[in-house]
Amino acid sequence: MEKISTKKEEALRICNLTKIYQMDELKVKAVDNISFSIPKNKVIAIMGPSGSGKSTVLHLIGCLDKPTSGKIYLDGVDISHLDDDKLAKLRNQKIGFIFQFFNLYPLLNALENVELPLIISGVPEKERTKRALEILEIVGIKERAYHFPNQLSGGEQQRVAIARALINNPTIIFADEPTGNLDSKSGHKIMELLIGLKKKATVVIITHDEDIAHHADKIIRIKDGKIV
Amino acid sequence: MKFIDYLKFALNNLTTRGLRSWLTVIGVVIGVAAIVAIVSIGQGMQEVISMQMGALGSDQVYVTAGSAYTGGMFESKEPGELDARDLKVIKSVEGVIAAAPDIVGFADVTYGKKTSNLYIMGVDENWEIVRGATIGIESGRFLAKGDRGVAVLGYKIAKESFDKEIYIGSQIKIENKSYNVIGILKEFGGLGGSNEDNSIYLSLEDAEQYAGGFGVKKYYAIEIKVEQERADEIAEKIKERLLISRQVTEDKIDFSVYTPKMITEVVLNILNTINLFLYGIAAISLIVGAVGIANTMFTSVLERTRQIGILKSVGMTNKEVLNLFLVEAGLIGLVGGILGIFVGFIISGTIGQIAAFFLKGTSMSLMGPAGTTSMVSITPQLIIFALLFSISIGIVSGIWPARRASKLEPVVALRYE
Repeated sequence: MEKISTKKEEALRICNLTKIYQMDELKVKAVDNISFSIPKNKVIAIMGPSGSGKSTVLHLIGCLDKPTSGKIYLDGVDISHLDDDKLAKLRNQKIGFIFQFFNLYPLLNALENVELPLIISGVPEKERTKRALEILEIVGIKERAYHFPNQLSGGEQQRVAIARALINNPTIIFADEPTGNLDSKSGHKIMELLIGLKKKATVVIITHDEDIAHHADKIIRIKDGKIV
Repeated sequence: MKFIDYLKFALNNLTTRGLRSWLTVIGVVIGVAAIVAIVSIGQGMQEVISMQMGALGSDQVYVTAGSAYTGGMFESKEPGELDARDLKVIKSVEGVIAAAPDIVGFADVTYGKKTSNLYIMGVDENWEIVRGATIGIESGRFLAKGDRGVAVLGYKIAKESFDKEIYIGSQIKIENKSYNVIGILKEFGGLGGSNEDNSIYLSLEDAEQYAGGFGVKKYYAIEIKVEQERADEIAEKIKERLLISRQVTEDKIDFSVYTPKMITEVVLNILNTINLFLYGIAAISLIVGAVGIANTMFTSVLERTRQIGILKSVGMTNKEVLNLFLVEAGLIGLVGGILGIFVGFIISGTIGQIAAFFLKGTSMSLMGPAGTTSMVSITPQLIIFALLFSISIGIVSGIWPARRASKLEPVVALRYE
């Protein structure tokens, strides 16, 4: 893994990042040569209209997809050309995800969903249950620990998702439209929770909601795959 | 990820799709049950037949006339009859202890008011020596040298063939000639009653007039008792001597020489061929079960695409996803295997019981271990084989869908609706 000297306060640096999707004979440039850096322990909002490429950027920097060209440095380490297994390990240990549609595993209860990253990394059951219960308490949903996703409200599900994102003490948390599927009251509470997370990790929020973006320490605006 | 967690995940997924999982398991159960039942019955049959044939006596050699049996397991290629000269030649072979010729035919036998067409067997006093322990006398005695006008009856002839039971001292009429019954044999057994139970034994001289059974007017067969440890060698020697005395060549041989061991081999070969055919049918049903597993797993991968995306987003590697699906498929195979073995045992046990019912009181019932009919042989090897085989079937059928699941791109899987 290539290491570069990034500034100490940088969690992530992106250099000339490009993503081209090949659709039959048509090439679609979803991300077009963008560069930016994300400071540690800050809340960053990536904004843009639908189809602007902001979700693609999140998938690339969140190790869910690979760039066509360009470099991504997470904690100074180039992660843009790692193989699938190394990317999976990074997602497990350094990255937390919060999705618009929560993406909880439907066959597991809230507690087990939070434990999921620890199950994958082989943490013993007793230890992972203790940690998961602690985090569920932090996000204020410990009493619903043994409920399944379909027994929880949208706000509750998103809290479980936040707890799951936090369980491995990640360096960076990516939230893709985290309040997009919630009513305004629940949305506010979730945003408060997310803003508070910057004490523990860097938080990158993808949104097209200006109100949410106002909570951010830095806003990166994207249009047609480019930073504007 | 720990194996126990794979198991928990797999069980969770399988129980969630309860009915479909059970239907898939049933496919495996049918295949495994068929294999277990067929193998256990096949093995049991082989054991029983080996014991049955062994009881015929490993010290016996048979010579049959070409006119009686040609082709198949018999060596004779041309029709031919055996007579007193052949008997003399056989008796002169070193190692032969006793030789008993058979004359066979059918005749109308009358006792009381009933007349039946029955099997007549002409034998001499040596027959009892040759047959040894395989026959026994229920009452009276067997034929002795010089006996004329007397008959020994097979068990069923005495007990069942006529309106009333025949006892020692009774007179029976064979085509207008009277015979005094001097002995009744013990039941020999066999499915539906053996030849021995349904025969009337006369002296060779008395039986000659009724000869002609199966087209053979002279000796139908010569049964020989030989030194046990040299049975095969003596059988070969008898053949050589008869070829010379009868002046026939091997390619025009008009008699057959064989031992119970040879018959056993032929019968077991036939049984093996039948078993192979049945294994083929069982294998087909297991393949259908395997296709069922693959189908269920493919559907499962498709339905759970988004779940796979979730697992990958929180750090599950391709290999772990592959393992997850393989454990699931293996579990279907394992459960199907356990139930299949159980069902297979029930099927083979039931068939064994039915066989025991029909063979009750026959010699075959005495041949099984511990005096019971054992048409079924269930060995630990069979259980282990069936279990490993069913798990392997599950895993092999799961490989393709599991690989498809593991190769899914997380971002594509997460977008899947």
